[in-house]
Amino acid sequence: MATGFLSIVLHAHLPYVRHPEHPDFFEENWFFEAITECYIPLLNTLDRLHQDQIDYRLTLSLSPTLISMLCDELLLTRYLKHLHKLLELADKEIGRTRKNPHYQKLARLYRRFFNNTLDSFQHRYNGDLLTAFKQHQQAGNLELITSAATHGFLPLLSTSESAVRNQINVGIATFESKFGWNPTGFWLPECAYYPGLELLLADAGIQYFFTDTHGVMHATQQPDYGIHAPLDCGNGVAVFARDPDSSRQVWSAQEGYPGDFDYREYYSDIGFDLDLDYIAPYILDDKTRIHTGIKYHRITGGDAAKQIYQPRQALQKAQLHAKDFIDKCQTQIDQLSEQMDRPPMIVAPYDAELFGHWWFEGPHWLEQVLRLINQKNNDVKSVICSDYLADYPHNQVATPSASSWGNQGYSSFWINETNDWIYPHLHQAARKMETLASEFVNATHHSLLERALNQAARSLLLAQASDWPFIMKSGTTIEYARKRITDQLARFNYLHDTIHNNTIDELSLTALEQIDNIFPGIDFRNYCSPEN
Amino acid sequence: MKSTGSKQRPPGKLTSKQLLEISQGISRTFSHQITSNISELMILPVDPYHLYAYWHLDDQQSSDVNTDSNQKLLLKVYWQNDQDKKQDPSKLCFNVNLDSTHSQQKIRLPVDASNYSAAIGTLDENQCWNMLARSNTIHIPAASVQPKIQNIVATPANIVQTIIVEDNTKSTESTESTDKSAYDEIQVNAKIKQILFKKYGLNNADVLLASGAITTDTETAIHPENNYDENLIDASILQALHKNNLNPQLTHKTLNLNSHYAASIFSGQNLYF
Repeated sequence: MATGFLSIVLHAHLPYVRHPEHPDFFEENWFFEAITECYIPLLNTLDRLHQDQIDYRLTLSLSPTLISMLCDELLLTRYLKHLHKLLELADKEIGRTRKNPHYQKLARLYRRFFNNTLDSFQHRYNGDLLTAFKQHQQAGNLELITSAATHGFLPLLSTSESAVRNQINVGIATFESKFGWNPTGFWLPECAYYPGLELLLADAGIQYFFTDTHGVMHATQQPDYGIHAPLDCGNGVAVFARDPDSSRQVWSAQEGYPGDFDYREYYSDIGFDLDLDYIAPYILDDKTRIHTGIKYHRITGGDAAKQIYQPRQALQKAQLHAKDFIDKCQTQIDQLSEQMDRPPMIVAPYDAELFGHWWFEGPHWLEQVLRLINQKNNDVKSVICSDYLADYPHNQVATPSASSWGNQGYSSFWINETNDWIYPHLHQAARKMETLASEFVNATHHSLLERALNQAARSLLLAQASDWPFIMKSGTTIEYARKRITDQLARFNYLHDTIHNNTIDELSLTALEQIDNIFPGIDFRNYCSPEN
Repeated sequence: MKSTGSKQRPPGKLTSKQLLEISQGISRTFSHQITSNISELMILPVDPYHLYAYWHLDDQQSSDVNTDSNQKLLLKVYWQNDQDKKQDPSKLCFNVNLDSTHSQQKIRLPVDASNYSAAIGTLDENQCWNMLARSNTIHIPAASVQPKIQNIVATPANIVQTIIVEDNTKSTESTESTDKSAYDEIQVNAKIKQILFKKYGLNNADVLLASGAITTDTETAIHPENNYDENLIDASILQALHKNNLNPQLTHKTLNLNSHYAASIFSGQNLYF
């Protein structure tokens, strides 16, 4: 068997969902669910691997909006309230299912799960998950990287270089302010690349980034090693491409592991299944059904009635799937090695939120994969990209092709008939921001004017998030997405006008600063265009 | 309140109610609007086959276009292929009629792997071109593996270019204005399909089966009554590509454009939205 590398990359991102103007807000649940089902289980997995002295390598991208939310006092307070409510519901479920031992066993499992989550959050991690991740990087197993400030879809913002530059630099500054060092790698939001982006990444000190498969396969030069070695973009910045085979095994709705009939069914949730009167206190406004996180059935398959979830069986299946994944990697590496004069590399990037939320057993699968890799008789070695580049610093030079990992591989999911109206506004706001920055570059530090300019930059960044056009196209919470964009643009326009008219109202400015309190260290002067 | 040098004590933590009132007030009053009164044209790359254009005309121009039925709003799209930098991009262009009641449009492109720019303007009844705004330049990516440099002459993209340039030339010779360029959307579409057939080894039947509305036969394709449906063609091409399921291994340096489709519908972002 030949030796090769597997680089698993998890990208953790959520849009900035923080609404202090409301006592509680539904979309903040996205964040709470991700903590409970993804981030804490992932940390628990890393802790166990560390405890068992498993020598693994894993890359985790934490988006700047997620980093900001993970250290936001208001959200973390609300998270605890959310978790206590879940515990209350689990207790209630134990009572309700007392005549059905199968269901009650699961209800008890959920109570244990929520209790463990609470214990991990409060006591093991002291409410600070970022520091816990940082410790794993310091232990040498985990490489933390980051992404653009608000996950802007950079190819469609590139009409303004300052817009893209600030998305990158503010993102990196947010990471640095929390972790104390600059990341070596960068996750392009939606893997969306356009030629020239590597220059801005190099300016920001980034050594590598990722594209989808065709980003490298359609590069200006045919890649000698296909997607199984990085390219040098010509300026020393390396690009790694997603391996479609390993992606398909996890992502694909048809072939992917998460669709196995033994795994927990995401859509079978008591928020939808139980009587409204009973579930009302745990859903939205006591009347709109939502997912609670308590799910009793397995996928089952076909049109058959959903069968009850068997956790032990599901975990065994995850173990089998982990073994299958490694076996397939090995087969792929064996085949590739015959054509390569260096060990092939398989890059397997996934959304981190897949693991635990959508695919409940995902964290267990990941843990088993990393344990299997550590076994002595295994020739698939886990690697992080910065280590790979240290060992193989010289790579073929070519410019990748514009690409993304979205539907159809380019920008069409983010610009189409459902969301195209946003771009004239976003581009105009970016130009206005450049003008403001140049005009008021000498604003006194800590003055009201400087605060207003910095807040305008925050509003612009928040309007640029790729999540809103994505939602408009996917058709889920469309009204919320539209409102987020229009609100952010309104705030930007308001600030722009009051700055220009010298009518800044401190109360209103303070309100906006308290609502959108992200990126405290932002400096509007970075929007000055180079000509100015 | 003056915007600089305020020495007043800043307001403390505001209540949820205060925050909501201020936020709602701003949203009501400052809902987004394009406030510029200058003409502009912006183009954005969508994929190897499309760009997206939006434009804004100043009040006078807008009024002229809307009131004078003899003035046709037109987009001239210029390109220069990556493989042939010697080609003068100003000679490679096609015209797209625009609906003056709209301010944005998705444009189908004849060739991939090219730089594109555009100009918006009007054609009067004498076919005189009046340019109102010029766009930025964008790069449209390649739809497949880039050919080696020595293969330039044989690339299907160049074949299309040649045909369209020739058509433009004929048009120039036969009329007084280059603005009567011979760009025919259906004809170009047929050429694009020919490129796809060659690049991906598709059979015509792969596309025709799904489409049912268009044929690659040039004579039929350019017939004005042909039921041209851009979306349907897009869908059928992608379906055909997906069906072939080309695999990007080292030994096959070609790629299934749609290999990530399954991934995107499983995208982690969907978990919350």
